[in-house]
Amino acid sequence: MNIKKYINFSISLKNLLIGTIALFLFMFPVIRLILLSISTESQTWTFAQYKILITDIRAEAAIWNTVYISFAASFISAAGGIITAFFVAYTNLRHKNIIELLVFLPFVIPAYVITLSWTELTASNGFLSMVLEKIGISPINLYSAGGIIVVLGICHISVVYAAVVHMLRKVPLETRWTAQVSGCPVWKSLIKIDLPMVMPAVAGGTALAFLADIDNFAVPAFLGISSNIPVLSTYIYEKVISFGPDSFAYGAVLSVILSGIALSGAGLASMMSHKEKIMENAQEDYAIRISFSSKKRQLIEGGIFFVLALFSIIPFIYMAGNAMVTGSILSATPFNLTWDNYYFVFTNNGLREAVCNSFFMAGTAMVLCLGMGTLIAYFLVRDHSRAAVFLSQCASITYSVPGIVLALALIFYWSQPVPGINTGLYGSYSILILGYVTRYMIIQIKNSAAAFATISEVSEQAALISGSSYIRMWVAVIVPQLVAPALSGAFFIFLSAFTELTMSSVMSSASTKTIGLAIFNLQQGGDYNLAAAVSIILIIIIAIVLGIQKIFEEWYTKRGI
Amino acid sequence: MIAMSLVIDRISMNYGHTKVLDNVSAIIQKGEFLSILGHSGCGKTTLLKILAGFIKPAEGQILLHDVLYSNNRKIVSPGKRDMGMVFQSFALWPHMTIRQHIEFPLQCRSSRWRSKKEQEKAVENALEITGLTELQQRYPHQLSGGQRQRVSLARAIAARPSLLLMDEPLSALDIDLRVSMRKEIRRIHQLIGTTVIFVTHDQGEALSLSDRIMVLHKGCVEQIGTPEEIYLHPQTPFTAAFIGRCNFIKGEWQGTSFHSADGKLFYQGDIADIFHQQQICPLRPEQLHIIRSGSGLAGIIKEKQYIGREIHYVVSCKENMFNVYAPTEENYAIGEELYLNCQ
Repeated sequence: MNIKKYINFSISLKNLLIGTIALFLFMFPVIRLILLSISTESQTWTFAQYKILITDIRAEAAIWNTVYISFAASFISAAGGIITAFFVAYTNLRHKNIIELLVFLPFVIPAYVITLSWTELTASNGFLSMVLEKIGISPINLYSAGGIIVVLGICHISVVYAAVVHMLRKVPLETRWTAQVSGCPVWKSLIKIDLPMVMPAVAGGTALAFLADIDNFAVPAFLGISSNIPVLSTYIYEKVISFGPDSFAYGAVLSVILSGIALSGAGLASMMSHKEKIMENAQEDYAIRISFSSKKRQLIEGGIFFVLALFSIIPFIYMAGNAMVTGSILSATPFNLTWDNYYFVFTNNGLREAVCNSFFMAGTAMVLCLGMGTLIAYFLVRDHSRAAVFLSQCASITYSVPGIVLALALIFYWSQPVPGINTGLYGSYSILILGYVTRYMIIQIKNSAAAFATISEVSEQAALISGSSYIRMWVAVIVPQLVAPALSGAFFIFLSAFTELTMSSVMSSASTKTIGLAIFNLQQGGDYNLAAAVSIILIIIIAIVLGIQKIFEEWYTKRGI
Repeated sequence: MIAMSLVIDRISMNYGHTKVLDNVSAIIQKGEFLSILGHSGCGKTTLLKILAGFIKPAEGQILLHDVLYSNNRKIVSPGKRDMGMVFQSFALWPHMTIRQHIEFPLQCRSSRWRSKKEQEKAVENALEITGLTELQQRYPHQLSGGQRQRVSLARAIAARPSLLLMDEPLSALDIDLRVSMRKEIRRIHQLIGTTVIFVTHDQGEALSLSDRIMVLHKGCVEQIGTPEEIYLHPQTPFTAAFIGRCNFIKGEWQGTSFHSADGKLFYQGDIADIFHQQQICPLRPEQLHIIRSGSGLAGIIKEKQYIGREIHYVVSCKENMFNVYAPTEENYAIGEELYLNCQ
């Protein structure tokens, strides 16, 4: 068949195309940034710029802060994650799905919204502070290293939880019974048997939390900039927006250092996950292992829900309240509650534009990732194309590299991708969309590849031998089976891009401001109530998008997909 | 008539340096049921994929109705071949109903079907033949294994192809289901009369379903013949050993007469030349008889398995172990010394 010949010939062309995209879209920006850090005006391949490590006190402080804050925060995440995972996996507590929902809330809600809600709650002129003063404790000040550590720690509990809860369920029940038969008390067997067995998952999850902490921009930006606690992500941000003569070079050096820290963390994480392979094939056992008496159970449930509510719900309620007043919430009475702030969001051009910009750019990025990612995934799974593997690896790098580093690399690269061509992309929608696509492509590739792996090859062969053309096969057989998993990846990409702050903080211009950046600016400017209002609207939008996703999912499962 | 048949002409195939198929040839008549029988890895699935048009052979050609379907330069795409295929894993599409599965090949080949009414009739017909009329609005996840296999079959025959390929269709089913599905396949084959190529590693299936069997071993055709020919007159030691159990007695051939090495066992019959060359005589367990005294190979009973309608013995004669089936009435004990002959 002629078409078959054409396809056979152009497959090598396809590989060439994929390889080129991998290099020009994903690899070169990162390489250019590294090269930038090791070159000066006069010579390349010099580490001269790295002297800032010795000369710049702020850089030293930023490096040290990044490491110890993230370290401490990841321990908090680990503690919270292990405890919650234990209660959910092993005990007979009720409403576990609500507990899981509350644990994952900080994963779905952007970190800056959580930070904002917490700062509102603990504000020095706020309700909580008054209460604390009455009992003799000074008000909690989140604008400190401690504050950053705690907020980061809580934001990433879900990361450790997700890793540990599955591993806990895989610990064979027999180990508990053997311990009991030998007369070992429950708490002792937990510490001596279960904990060591899940240690790889704990370590792996904690390493992932560490990575998320050093990558995080929102929390140290909200809490650390005004209190002069620099971390590498915010310091790079400061350098980039200052537009000094050597800003980019300086930023490049800091980026390489930050990436170095990230790489060691990632290396640690993958080392830990290798040890996990022992129990990889074990089945998860959902049986209840520890039963509390109903009185004890009620007590523990109450305690857990109180703590989770304190972390997740109360701050939001407080923030919602603040959004309804134009002064301090303490001055709120039923009579001066006002919708003014919300009204402002809807009518103010700048804010309205921010919401529309975010929708437009996140939507475009989602569609681009869906199309290209699914195509790459097809070549990955069906053709075992080495070019597709290479592209996936490059896309993994751009996902795991700290967000601010990627932003800087892209800004620098796309202003002059090929020597001589100045694209003038900076400040446009395109650069941000490019940024989102570069960062999140791997998510779509992974999701779509997993989907293709479940659609067996014979499924396609059956279509072909029934007389179908390739196009018909795709439309009638493959795509309907792909829709569910591919869309779940797409929704995740949309929400991530929509709420994203790190990259838009340096890549946005006045006309391409995003909703995250808008909230950031309002908070930095002291306009907390308005920031609160925008945050509440953002949360509502997130809830609607998740709701739509849920409706789609119900529709698929009914159809048997 | 040769014109209406499937011609497999000296097909060879390599994967890297391994020769997966070596000079495989066969001519299959219209309406014939041919099984391709062999171990896993013998090349039978590769041969089926070449027949279907998913792979191009390294050498040789495939012709159907005198039309060239495959050679090492070009192949007709699977969709353009007049074939249907049933897969081991059923290959059903989770988002389509049973009816939609069966409509699919008709919609693809709609140029052949003049009217919507004809298409509908064909769909109803396929549903009826496979007994799925009442389940036609269900989805695959709502069906049992046997029902899913019927859907796979119905989809394959819906467009009335000249050739039906079946790739170990019963392997994924429970044992009792396999036996009942054998009857179904036989019934459907007699009803619609299409030519069938049936790949399997189960000799029971091959023997009970086929008009002819092709025995494949390491990519080479050991023998093609009717089930009787394969069983009673194996042409190679592999075929003899693969189908049913076989005992190889060492000795001497003179014409069509054989006597064992110690001269105690005699056989007269038409056996393939290769056994003459190797100076062995293949005898089935039911062809050997146990006698307590008289002329025959001396042996001791080592194992005994009560099957119900007969007893299976393993008899040790010097260095050889022979399988012997005897009626239940003749009850011998383990360790008993006796003689084997084939009268």
